Order: sequence, then structure tokens, then C-alpha cells
Amino acid sequence: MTEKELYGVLSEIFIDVFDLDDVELNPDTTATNINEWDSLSNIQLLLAVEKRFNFRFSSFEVSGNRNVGEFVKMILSKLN
Amino acid sequence: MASPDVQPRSLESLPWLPIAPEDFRQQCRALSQNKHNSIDRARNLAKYSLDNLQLVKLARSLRALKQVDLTKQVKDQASLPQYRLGLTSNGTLDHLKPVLEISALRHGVQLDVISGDFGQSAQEAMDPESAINMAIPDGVLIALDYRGLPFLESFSSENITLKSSVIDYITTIVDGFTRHGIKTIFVQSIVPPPVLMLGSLDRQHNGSLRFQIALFNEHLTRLCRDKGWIMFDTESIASFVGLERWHDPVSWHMAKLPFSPSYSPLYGEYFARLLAAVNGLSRKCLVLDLDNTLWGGVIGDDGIENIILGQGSPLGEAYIAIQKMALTLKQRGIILAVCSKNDEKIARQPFREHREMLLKESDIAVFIANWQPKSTNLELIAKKLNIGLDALVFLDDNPVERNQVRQTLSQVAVPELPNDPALFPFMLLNSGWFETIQLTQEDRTRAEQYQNEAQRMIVKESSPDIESYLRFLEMKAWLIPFDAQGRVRITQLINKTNQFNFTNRRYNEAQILAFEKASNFITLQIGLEDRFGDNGIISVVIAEQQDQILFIRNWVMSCRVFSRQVEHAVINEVVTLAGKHNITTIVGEFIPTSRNGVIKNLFADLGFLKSEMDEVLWELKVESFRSLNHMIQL
Repeated sequence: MTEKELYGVLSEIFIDVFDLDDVELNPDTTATNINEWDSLSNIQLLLAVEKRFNFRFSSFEVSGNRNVGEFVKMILSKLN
Repeated sequence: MASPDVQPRSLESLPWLPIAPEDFRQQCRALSQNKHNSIDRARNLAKYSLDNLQLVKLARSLRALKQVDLTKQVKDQASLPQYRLGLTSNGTLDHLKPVLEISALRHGVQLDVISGDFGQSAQEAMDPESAINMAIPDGVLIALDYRGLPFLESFSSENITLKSSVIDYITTIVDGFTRHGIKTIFVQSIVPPPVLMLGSLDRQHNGSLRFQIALFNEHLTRLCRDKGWIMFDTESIASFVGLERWHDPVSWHMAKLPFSPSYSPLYGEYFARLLAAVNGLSRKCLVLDLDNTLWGGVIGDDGIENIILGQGSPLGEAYIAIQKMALTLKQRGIILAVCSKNDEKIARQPFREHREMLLKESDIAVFIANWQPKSTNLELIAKKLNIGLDALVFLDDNPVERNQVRQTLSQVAVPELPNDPALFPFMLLNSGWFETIQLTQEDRTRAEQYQNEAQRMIVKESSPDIESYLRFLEMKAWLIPFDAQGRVRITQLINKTNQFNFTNRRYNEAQILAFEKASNFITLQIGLEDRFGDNGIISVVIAEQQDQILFIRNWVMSCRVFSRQVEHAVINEVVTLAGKHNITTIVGEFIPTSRNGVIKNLFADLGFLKSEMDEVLWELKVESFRSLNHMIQL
């Protein structure tokens, strides 16, 4: 999967999990940019991503993602 | 028949619940757009197997509905019992709120969850101003896991017993909540982590965590039995799933989730059954299809020599196991009925002639075999047994039949089944529709009770008029105050009865005991027997005296003894007792629900007058009361 494709898939997941009409994900997007993104919905987000790609995140992977960009990089390396 | 190669679904996906439709999300959204019948439609959506995200969405739509229209809220609230639940834990459980709410809706309860604001459950319990105590919930779920209790894992000494501090800790929490007026306490059993420090020796060594947890669960079981706390047996659920899958260290370290969030829907579903049971909504009757459900093959086509049952074949043994399960359910008080598309005589043949049949005709309270749609027959079964459609569970191997019933009779529970009958018992028992919080003598003899009732019906139908039927019954009743002997059955009746239930006030055993002892309460338990058998305790009255007025807090009666004028005998006795206590006025309350319409005019029929001050109140002056006629010997 390419980075661009992944952003597309993640946007769909974000829209679904946070019940948004639309979302614009950039590498520097963080939880502060999206109202509905809190620690509770973050759990749902990670679950939804795990379900979508049929993998489980490890402790390494869920720690230290400071923004969407790092999150995307982590998922890409997991997929490829 | 469905395609034979479909893999059975895993426990995680609640395989006894049908899969959600493709347009589930749209249907959720549509709830708030069209408010007509919205709670019912939400409830129907809740009946599917839903994952975390779907549960969140449905919960969100439901919440939006309630906020929008307050007047409709009142009308809808009349149809489902409401329950407020406090939730406290050492971990994070906020993500379970929507799961619990929707799971409860699936089982007929409108649940409102109040999360504790303190991380420490003890603090939450003891502080009168904690979020849970301030909300005065109906019940509280103490959802501690093994990390939240002061277990002492130690390998230094041989002689360690379970630290009393662990039992004290849980007792402190329970007592705290109880002191603040919370009636029902749910406590989780502890799920041990899937690790052994010493290996097999852990089981023997007092200081191992495994040992400590096992001992604690044992203590907890005893406490629940003695003190009336209700155990939520998460240990069993986790063992069904597998401890390794249940525990999720990554999620714990990330967000203090006590178990893998993949099992949140399962957790919510299992808890919802307890909630249903506490609210008197446990289902009562298992309706069985015959062909390919109780035996392999079609009796009408294959004939009795060719149906597959027992005889050492894997398939045959699987059907024996299904029959055995049905028999065991009957022994614990579930009524069995048959609903089959067959000629009746042919349908009865295996019961009468097949050597391997475990079930006998006498095990079946209502036997219906014809060519009508199954939904029509299910309605007939409910009518004959005088129970609601929402007391039925329907077992049928055929997905077409299952769907027909689900579409036409949404109140009937229809567990989804895999193709393989070897898995039917697992699927039916885990669908949990019969979960109960009490087992009484009445439960054990229920099947016999229903046989007796069937006999009464036959006589009734052949009686020239109602009076001669009632006289023929030779009814005898006893009416006495509450006592220790009747306590369990009284509590059960108060919690299970829905039709003849004036105020829908439910009480637990501790409260029933309190009424028994209270000098300002007049209590009655009424038992009835007739020539066909003893019905046991069939009615309960709880009334509170304030000066010269007697307030009937609740009066319930089993639907099995409707139309026998028992209510006349009861009210005569209440008035007599009132006279002895210097009471001049008896006040009754009728709070309408969706199920007690049958008694809406009863107070009027008994001679009460509607109060001018309050719509729900009815008054009876003791002085002017004339004894009502009945055919019951006291």
C-alpha cells in the first residue's frame, strides 16, 4: 500500500469512528485538531485500524506516535 | 438448508446473534430522522451481533433521540423498564458504556450508566458525594480485576492464607454503596492471568496469585449467597474465550483496559442477561422445531426407521445431546413446547415409537404441528401458556424459518444456529435468554404445574358456565403475612410478574425481609390449590400504613390464576386486616406499563374510586366496603 492510499483508508476510518462528515488528514494532524478525538475514541480508532488490516499493534507501535504522520509511517512499515 | 461449508463464527462475534445488515449505519442514522416508534426500532437494531464501533454508533443515535424529544421520552419510557447502573473499576471502563447500554436494550432494559469519577472504588463507595452515590442508581457493578485487589503474591512462606484485607476491601466497597441506598450490588469474579509462576505447583502454593484468586472467588461466591450480592461471573466468560485471548497486556499498559476490547461486546451481552433477570425479564419457554432440530431428517419423508437419532452415529448423538439439553432446561424450570410443520400424528410418532427419543410427549407443555406459519403457532403457544411473546425462545435449524419469525414477531428470541447440530447446545445455552438469578422449588416443578394447568383448561372448556367451573375446581387458599418460608418465592414473584403488577415496584430479598419485620407494613402471601394441584404462592401484597391510611405499594398475582376471583379473596382480606389496624382508607396505585393493561380497570371493579387529586391513585373506604363473592375456601 502506498502512503497516499493509506491516508485515504485512514480518512475513511476517522470519519467512521469519530462520526464526521469529512476529514482532512495531514502529517501534522493531532488529536487537538479533531474535536471528537479523545483518549476514549482513540481506543476505538486503534481497534478499527487493527480490524481493517487484520493485525494487532504492539506496545512499541502504540507508544510515541505524536501525530498522524508518525502513525502512518508506523502502519506502512507494518504492512510492507 | 444453508450452505454446508460456512465456518462457524467465533465466540467474539456473539454467534447466536444474527449478523447486522449492510445498511446498519444508515438505519442508525435514520432513527433520529424519523421518531415514530424509535425505541422499538433501536431495540430491533440492538438484536444483531454488533462490534464495538457499531455499538457506539447505535448508542450515539439512541442518545440523540432522547435529547431531542422529551415528551416522546415519557411515552417510550413506559414501554421498557429503566435501570440506572453505577460502574466502578480499577481500570478504564468508559468504553463499555455504549456497549452496556445497547446490550441492555437487546434484553429489554433501558440502561443509564453512571461512571465512577474516582479511580479508587473504595473512595467512590464511601464518599456520599461521589458521582455514583449522588446519582442514586438502582444497582452498581463493581468491576474490579486482579490488579485492583490487594492480593499478595509471595513465595517466601508456606503458610499464607488469603489476606483478610482482600475480603475486607471488597466488603468495604459493597457496604459503602449499600449505605448510600443502592439496592443491588453486582460483583465480578476475578479472572486470573494466563501465567504460572511456579508451574503446576501454583495451584497448591498458598502464596501464588492463582491460588489467591481461586480462594477469593470461592469466598466471593459464599458472600454473594449469604448477603444477596449478585455475582457477575467474568471468570467463566473469560475461560470460555480463553484466558490468553481475554487478557491483553498491551491494552492495559496503553489505556488501563482490563481485558481485550475485542471482547467488550461479549462482556456487555453477558452482563445484560443479569440485568434482564433482575428486572424480571428472563425468558420462560423454549419452543422446539422437530425435523433436523430434535432428530436428523424429516419424519414425514424419511419415516421413523430412517430419521437419525442416537445409535452411535456422530449426527445421531448430536441430536440426543440437544434433547438432553432440553430436558435439563425443563428440570430447571423452563417450559418446553413444540412448533413443527408436519401432520400432528406424524410429528408425534418419534415421541411415541422411537427407542432413542429422550423427550417424551409429557415433557412438552404445548405441542403444535400443522402447516401454518411458525409465527402464528408461536402466538398460539404464548396464548395457551398465558405468557408474553417476549418469554419465548425459538430453536429451529432452518434459517428461512428463523428469519420469518424474526421479521414477524420481534419479541421472540431466535438464536442463530450454525449448520452443525453438535454446536446447537452451545449456541442455545450461550444465547443466555433463560439466565436467572434465583432458582426455587417453584421453578423445579413448573413443568408439572403447566401440565395441571392444561388439565384445568380442558375442564374449563367443557364447563357450561364459569361458576360451575370455579365450583368444580374446589379451590382452597391461604393468606398469611410474609414469613421466612415464603421469602424466596415472594421475591421471585415480585420480580417476575409483569401483567398483574400494579406499580411495577421490584424489591430484593433484603427489602422483603424488611417489610416482613416492619410494624407499619401489612404484607400478604397468598397460596392457592385446587383439585388439580397446588399452585403454591401466587400473589403478594405489600402495603404501608401511615396513620389511618393504607398505601398498597404493590400487588402482584401470577397470570396462571387469573379469572378465578382470587383478587376478590385478597381484597376482602386486605380490608379485614385494615379494619383491625384502625385504617379508614385504602389507597391503591396503578402505574401503567406496556404489559399491565389487563388490570387497568381492576380497582374500579373491586369498588375503589378514582382519586380526584392524582391520576394514578384509587381509594377505598373501609367502612363502606362490601365483601366480594368468590368460590374459594379459606
